[in-house]
Amino acid sequence: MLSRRQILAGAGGGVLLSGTSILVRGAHAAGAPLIPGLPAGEYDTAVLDALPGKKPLIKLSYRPPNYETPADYFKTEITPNDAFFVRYHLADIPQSIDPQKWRLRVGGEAAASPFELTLTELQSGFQQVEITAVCQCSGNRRGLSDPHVPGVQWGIGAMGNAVWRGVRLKDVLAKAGLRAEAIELVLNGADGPVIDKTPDFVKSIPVWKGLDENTLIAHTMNGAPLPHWNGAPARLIVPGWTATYWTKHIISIDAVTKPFDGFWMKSAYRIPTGKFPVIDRFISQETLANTPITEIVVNSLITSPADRSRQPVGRPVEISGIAWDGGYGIGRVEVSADDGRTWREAQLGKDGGRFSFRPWSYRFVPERAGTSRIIAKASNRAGQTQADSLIFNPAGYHNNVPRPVTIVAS
Amino acid sequence: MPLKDAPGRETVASNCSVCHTLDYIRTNAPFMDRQIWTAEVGKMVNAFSAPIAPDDQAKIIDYLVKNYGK
Repeated sequence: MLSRRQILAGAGGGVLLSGTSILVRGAHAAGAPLIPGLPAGEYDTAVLDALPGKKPLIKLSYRPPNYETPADYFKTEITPNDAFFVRYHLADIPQSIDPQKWRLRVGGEAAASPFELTLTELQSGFQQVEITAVCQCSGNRRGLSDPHVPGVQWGIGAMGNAVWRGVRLKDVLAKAGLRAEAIELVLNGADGPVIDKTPDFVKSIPVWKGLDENTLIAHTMNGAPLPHWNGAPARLIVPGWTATYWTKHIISIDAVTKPFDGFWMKSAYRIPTGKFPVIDRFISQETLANTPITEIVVNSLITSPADRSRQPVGRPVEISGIAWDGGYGIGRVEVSADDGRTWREAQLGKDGGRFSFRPWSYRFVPERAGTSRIIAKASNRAGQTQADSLIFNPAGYHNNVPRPVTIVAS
Repeated sequence: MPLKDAPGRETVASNCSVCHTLDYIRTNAPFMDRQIWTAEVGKMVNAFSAPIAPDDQAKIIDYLVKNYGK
């Protein structure tokens, strides 16, 4: 059983605790820049803390580590590796994985030629591709559920955008002789439960999603080897789908002919069937009542100015933000300064690809002294728009209600 | 010891911290009522095989409801 002390000691020494806290209006006394609206207990518990190799992030739990990215880091489209969020279910996490000894076993009953992949083969034995994609925890913004629901009480920071480099899963499956009868791919990583009987965190994806040309086994993140806490030496990248499928420290992929019935597929990560306007469905796992979470729902975040900033009357304020979705591409971002009576289109910025954060900006001129509530809502090219009000679900997934900022003009 | 000093604290701390931080209790507060805390402890025992004796389960739920619930 690994304690945080052991993990830190194993990683070679000091905790990189910065002396400076990120000063954000409304920050809790403990220094963590928490947004309002979270469960009250979180304001007494969350602190800024630095895992080895990471900047100070918002610690929601030490063991297993669950740390979210402070909002200021989303002012740039690419999230730096040392600020990228960290999430684990289970606390038996290897201190480090020797890249020379790491193996990825690719097999299962629906693979004619199972084999084991080394890191060297992963890096040079297949065509290398890069994709910029948002990795977002299914439960991002769960802390804002109303009513609150149990779980990790994430604010807005359980997400990040990175350039992932690796090989196409379909190329690896081709080498393994994927059979036509395969319906799912079962994914396992090197981390596991403290108690043997606790179900290991094993997921599956539909075989068609695994064969998608964008699904990668990645070894490199933003030009550097994957950080330990983000899945070194290799992880799965499933652009457009939530991060529960982005298996970290991946060590096995099994092609199966029957729906996988492990706990973390059958009894977790499910949304009520038909409640959300998603297009990709995991049919082999779907029941009348519920279905696995799949695509990221269209969403946005205003990154500047901060809430309740003071601005001079009559002078333009640049409102900036990001927008993202499940990979259909951002169609438009609309902004309202009159509580939704009228909307104007924001200017979309550089397109980093349909799976990337899309920057946008909007020029607002406060005409009178007083407060203005700026609402931004994104729509994607599949015709989906952010929800006007929360679509409640017991697990707190898919929160994509617009998050306004207030401007105080004088 | 991050948990509130009240009867049952030791039972909670010794059982729950086997697998995870006690911060999970503190952050999931104070919105959970008896029904939800009972379901969560039940999930630990039934889904995750936490080795908690039935007497201890009752003590744990009482502590959580009184100190971290509503």
